Amino acid sequence: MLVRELVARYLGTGGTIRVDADPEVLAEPEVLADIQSAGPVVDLQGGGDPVPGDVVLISADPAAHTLPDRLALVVAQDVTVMLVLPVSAADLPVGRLAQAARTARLAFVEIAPIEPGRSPRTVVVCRTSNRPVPVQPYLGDGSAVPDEIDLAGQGLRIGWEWGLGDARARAVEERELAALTRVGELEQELTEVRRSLDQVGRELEVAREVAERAELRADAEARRRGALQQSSTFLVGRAMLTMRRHPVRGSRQLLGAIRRSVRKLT
Amino acid sequence: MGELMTRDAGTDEAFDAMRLGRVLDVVGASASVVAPLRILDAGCGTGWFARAMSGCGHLVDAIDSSEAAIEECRGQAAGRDRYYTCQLDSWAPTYVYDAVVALDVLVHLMDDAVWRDSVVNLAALVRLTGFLVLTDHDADADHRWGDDHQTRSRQSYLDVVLPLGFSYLGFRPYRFRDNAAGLHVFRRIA
Repeated sequence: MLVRELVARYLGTGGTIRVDADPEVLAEPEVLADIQSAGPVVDLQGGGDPVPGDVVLISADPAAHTLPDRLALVVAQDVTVMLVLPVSAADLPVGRLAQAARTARLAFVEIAPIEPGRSPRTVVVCRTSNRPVPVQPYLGDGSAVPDEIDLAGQGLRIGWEWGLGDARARAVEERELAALTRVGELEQELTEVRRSLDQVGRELEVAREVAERAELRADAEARRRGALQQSSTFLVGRAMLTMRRHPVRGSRQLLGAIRRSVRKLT
Repeated sequence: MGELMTRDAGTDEAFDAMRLGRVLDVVGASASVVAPLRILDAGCGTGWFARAMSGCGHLVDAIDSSEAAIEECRGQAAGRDRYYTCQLDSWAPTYVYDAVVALDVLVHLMDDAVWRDSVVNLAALVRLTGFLVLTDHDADADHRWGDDHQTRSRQSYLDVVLPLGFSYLGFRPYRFRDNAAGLHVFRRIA
């Protein structure tokens, strides 16, 4: 949606576009130039009082304390007021806007995000009225609401949508928050489990190295023992021990050991 | 052996608990895990009240102009309490609250314009049917008690708040020893 399109939708026959642009939050110059194609443009404070059919375009910082006073400049009934706000719809300060508009007796009509420009903008359309006014559909084309509608019925409907919709939206937010919190807790648990796994892995590596060293030591010990058992000294000593209890068998072993030793030497 | 509690600390704890009870009397004792009340603690100081309300199951935003106080509060956050450094007259979130509570803070705003802007801004943040709870004396006239303490009359509050779409539910005194302060309670009706 363009600001020009919105202005054209609400500008009555012979109506005038009255602009009150905050220099600090000035509407983009091309926007002001663009809306001139929708109708005659005058300054709000220098062009006389607005009349029904006029559109008052107010560009303002929604957080400014001056907003209620600026809205109060429009006192005539059935004048459409468009607040051009330099924020996206997601960043609208709902409480401040609602209180400023209510204090100025402005009834809500519709809200329209403006197509991307150099910065995000949102237009809130409202109307000076002492009675309920028909609200327009979000992102609608302005033709969906008939001129004659049951305004009391609409008020009932708004109450229901506000009551049920708000409660549901808050519950959904809390559920998402709880889910995010749970995801955070699970991620923390996962981090701790990974840390424990890393620690176990390191301990396993140390244990494996210890086992490998023990195996190497066992192999070396086996080789040393084998070499010892094949040595002449060991064979002679064993034969001498055998000879104490079995002289004949020991003598044979001793003789064999001596022969093996002699063969090695020769 | 536990740490001995000084008389002042004990008195402060009792006073805070008493205030919490008074506020709960206003906003109600119900809290839902899936849809808690949204509460603003305006001028939270060290955050005792925000943590206590969070402990009651509510979602609490707490603001204070002191960066150091907010840092301390964040370090002690109970989980559902969030803290921001901000002046009372400039806090403008994208959502509105079920209850906005300013406990013993407006009396320290010596500049009447700042006090008025703060009350108007806090009122703006209250949703339809929500509560605005402001601490002061229930006096007939403004009174300056010192360089950093000024109470405003009941009528001063009514003059500012009622035109913003509120009804006045009355004054709820603390009834804590000889403390004359209490809660001016408003409810948004339009």
